[in-house]
Amino acid sequence: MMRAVSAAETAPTSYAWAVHAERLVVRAGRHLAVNGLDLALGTGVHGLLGPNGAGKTTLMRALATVVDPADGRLSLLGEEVTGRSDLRRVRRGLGYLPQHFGFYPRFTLREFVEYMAWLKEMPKAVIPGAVQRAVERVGLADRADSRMKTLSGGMLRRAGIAQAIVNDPQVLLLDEPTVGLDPEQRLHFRELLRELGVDSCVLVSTHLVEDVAVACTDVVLVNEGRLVWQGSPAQLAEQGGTGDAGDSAAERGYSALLRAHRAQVTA
Amino acid sequence: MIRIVGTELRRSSAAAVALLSLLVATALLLSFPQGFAGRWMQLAVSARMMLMLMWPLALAGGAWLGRRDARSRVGELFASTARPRWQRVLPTAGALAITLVGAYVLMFLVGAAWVAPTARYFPIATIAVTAVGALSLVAAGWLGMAAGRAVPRLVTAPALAVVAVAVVGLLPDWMSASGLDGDTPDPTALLLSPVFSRGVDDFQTVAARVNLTQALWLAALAATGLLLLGAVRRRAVALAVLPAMLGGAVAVPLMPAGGYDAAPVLDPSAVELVCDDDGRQVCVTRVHAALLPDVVGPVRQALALMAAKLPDAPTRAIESREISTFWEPQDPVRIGPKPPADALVFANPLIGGTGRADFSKEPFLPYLLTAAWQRDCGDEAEHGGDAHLARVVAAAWLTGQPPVPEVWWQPEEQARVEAGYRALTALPPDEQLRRMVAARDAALDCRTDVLVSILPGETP
Repeated sequence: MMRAVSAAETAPTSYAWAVHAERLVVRAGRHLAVNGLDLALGTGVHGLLGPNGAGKTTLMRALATVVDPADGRLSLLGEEVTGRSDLRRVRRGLGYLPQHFGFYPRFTLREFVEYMAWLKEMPKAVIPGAVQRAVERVGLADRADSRMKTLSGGMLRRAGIAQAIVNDPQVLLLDEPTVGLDPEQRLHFRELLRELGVDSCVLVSTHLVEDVAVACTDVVLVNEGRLVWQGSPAQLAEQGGTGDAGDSAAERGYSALLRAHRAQVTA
Repeated sequence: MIRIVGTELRRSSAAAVALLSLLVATALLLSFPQGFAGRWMQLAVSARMMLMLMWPLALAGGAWLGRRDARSRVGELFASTARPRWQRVLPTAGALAITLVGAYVLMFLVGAAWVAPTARYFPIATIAVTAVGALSLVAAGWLGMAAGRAVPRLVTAPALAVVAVAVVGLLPDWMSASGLDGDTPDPTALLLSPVFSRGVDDFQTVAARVNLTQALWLAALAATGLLLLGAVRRRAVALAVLPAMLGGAVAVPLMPAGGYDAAPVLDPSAVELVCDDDGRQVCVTRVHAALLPDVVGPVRQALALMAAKLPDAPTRAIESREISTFWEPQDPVRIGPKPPADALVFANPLIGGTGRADFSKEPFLPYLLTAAWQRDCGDEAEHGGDAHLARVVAAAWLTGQPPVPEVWWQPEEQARVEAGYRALTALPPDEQLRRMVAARDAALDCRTDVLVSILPGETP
């Protein structure tokens, strides 16, 4: 597809990190789900790993500007989002698939993605083309004109990815995107992730260490609201020994890092 | 934005809500087409009465639509997007407004099929009355959406419908009923409800002042609904209430006192006369022009019968221009000057469902004959019942046939009519004529005592 490229798009980025958090604190209810987290993410695919309750979803919500941080600093695409700043410009560059993806069941897939494109304030002229491309990229072109309520669980997850990527976001936040996908779809999804990671910052939260090991350029491990470890998948694999739990090197590395962190906290 | 409005029109419940109100209201409207057939203003006012159903439905439908975001759990996703909330709600609110206005206008157009073929008079105020009704539905829809968003419960929509029925349907009646015993007028604020609680006479229109103040108030109410719907912060919610409060504060003092009793005013154009000069002249009001072909025959027949028996018989006929109001049927008000002495003054016959005269329930000729002894005189409660019976005797004398009893007469009334007729016809012909002429002269002067004297006195 051909489209005009605006001056804003070709301008060099003026920030070092697409996502930059310093001593970030975010509440989930009264609980401090993210508690003094430091994180810097650039272009590439980042896998966010951690046990249940580690604060992954709360971190994603804060990065998606859905919840305000309680303390610390957070900047997205070079703009401060802490406090009462105008988030409109940042949000135009965001893509977000929440853990619980809500949608209007009577809309068709195309209409819903189109609606999301409108909410993301995309220029009117590029919306139809962008919607078609997003739907094709997640492999749902043949279901584009089906009502959302007729889509299966896996299709809905892909529909959620389609709406997240429709605006070619510079920061793409995917909370458990592979839930409900069959093995073939997961392979396809990994490919898509690699493509997306070429020129944007993608953060994928998941329980599946394998997905991270194969599709990500970078691994972020969090526990109890803090950053535990950050490195490449190869480095993650090196962390584990034969005594650690897991069926693959990456899983053993994950177990080893978590065990070490827990020992450090209790010590 | 236009595209999104299109999607909302196709996919949201707005269209279903409007269709439901359209069907319910149209069915009720068409259950009594006689009420408005052939008359545009009556159609516009009848449509406003249908708001008693449509307003609660629009409110409940809006609430259902307003609950959609909570029901679909899209809040999380939408919160991450750039477009501000007030912009996001516009296509949905716009779609609901379009469908509700469409439903109201469609109902009006369906009713127009009973009006347009026969009506010869289109008062411009019809458009104003209809526009205010449509605007009220927009206000209801948007307020409902704001309520559905604020309290996204399943029960919100039905609860709102019930409350709305009570407020716009029952409260005005209750308030005016409680004021009937004393002579206190209805509270002015009842005009804040868009639902007409009273009919309007054929010779009346709705005061421009009422239309304007209601439009002002309802536009302010709609603005409050939309602002509440788009509000994010507490301050915006507080500010959103301002238009409705200001609108009400400005509109109520400008409204005429007396609630819906004060809404109708005389329409001078409606009572202009339209005449048939092809024979003895017969004139009807402009608003009843469609009845002229139907009444010309019986009226000329009556004039001929009178000419045969009465000296100085009426040579032409004019439709009565008295308004008997719904709440004071015994105290009619005459419009314009006293009709000329040489004219027979008659009230229009019943109007049927097609907008033409319906003679099936009340035979027209016998009534016309009694009209020779009647004038637009205002209050005649004094001799009301007796005067009517005496006129029946007089009409029977005109035709030379004994009076035909009416089904609703009491036996003693029938006995008096028959006795009166026997006594009258037993007199010598010259005396009969003298008495009937004297009775007519008195009646043209608005006195019925001479006429009533042809009846035997009431037997205790």
